[in-house]
Amino acid sequence: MTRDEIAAMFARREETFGEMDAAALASDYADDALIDSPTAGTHHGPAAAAQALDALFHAFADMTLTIEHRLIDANQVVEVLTIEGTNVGGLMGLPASGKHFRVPAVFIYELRGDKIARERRIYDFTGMLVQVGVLKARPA
Amino acid sequence: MTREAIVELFERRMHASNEHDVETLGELYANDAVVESPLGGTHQGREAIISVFAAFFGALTDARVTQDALIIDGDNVVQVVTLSATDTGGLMGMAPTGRPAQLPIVLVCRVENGLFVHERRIYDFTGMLVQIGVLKAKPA
Repeated sequence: MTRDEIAAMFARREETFGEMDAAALASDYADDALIDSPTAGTHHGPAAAAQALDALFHAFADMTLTIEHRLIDANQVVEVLTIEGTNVGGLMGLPASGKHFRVPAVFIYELRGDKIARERRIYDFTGMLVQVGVLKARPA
Repeated sequence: MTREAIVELFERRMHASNEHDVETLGELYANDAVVESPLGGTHQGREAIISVFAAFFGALTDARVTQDALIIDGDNVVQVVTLSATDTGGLMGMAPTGRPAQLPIVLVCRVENGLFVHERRIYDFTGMLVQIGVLKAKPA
């Protein structure tokens, strides 16, 4: 894909995320795609991606991503963003806490052809769990 | 900066990081460079940057990083590293715990004229504090 095509693909994905369309987002992954997510763990392929995104959108029905920077380097893409949302649907088998979280995050993608072959998400996951009330943290 | 110059700048920084050579690290930042770090807060200028590096290496005396990815888009660069370290010197004014931590860290950087001018560090900071035993976390 050209740089412009990659930019268009990720602009479309940003819009699709705003619509919380898990199936459309998942269709961008290769069949053997590897996705490393602190929340959903390591999972593979479009079906697992759709399931993980559905669970996320259920847990955080008002979730938003604000993309601050998008870097494109050949077949690699990085998004630097802020994620926020409110735990209105429960998370990790626990009931909804109604608490809000906001964390900076980085998503790193590797493309193969016009599909995402690998995605890695890095953010203060433990801090997010504390913010939404799944974990309590205190000085040791 | 050329791609080759950027790659070399990041190689020099990683080497200096693994040598805990804070003076060389400081020389790689512009006089008015800004660093945003969960551990050191937002700090500006070489002296402040050196001071935060010195505090970090004083606490985590065996800290080492290995590069997982380097994504270059003009003057904007993202480096993904894995940090391995043990809290042998005490972090944030606390007694050393002797516990190790290993985690991915993303460094979102802007470079100009051979130097770092801005850097933002994104990682599971709360998780790192739990790993080394500065914080305790339990289900809420």
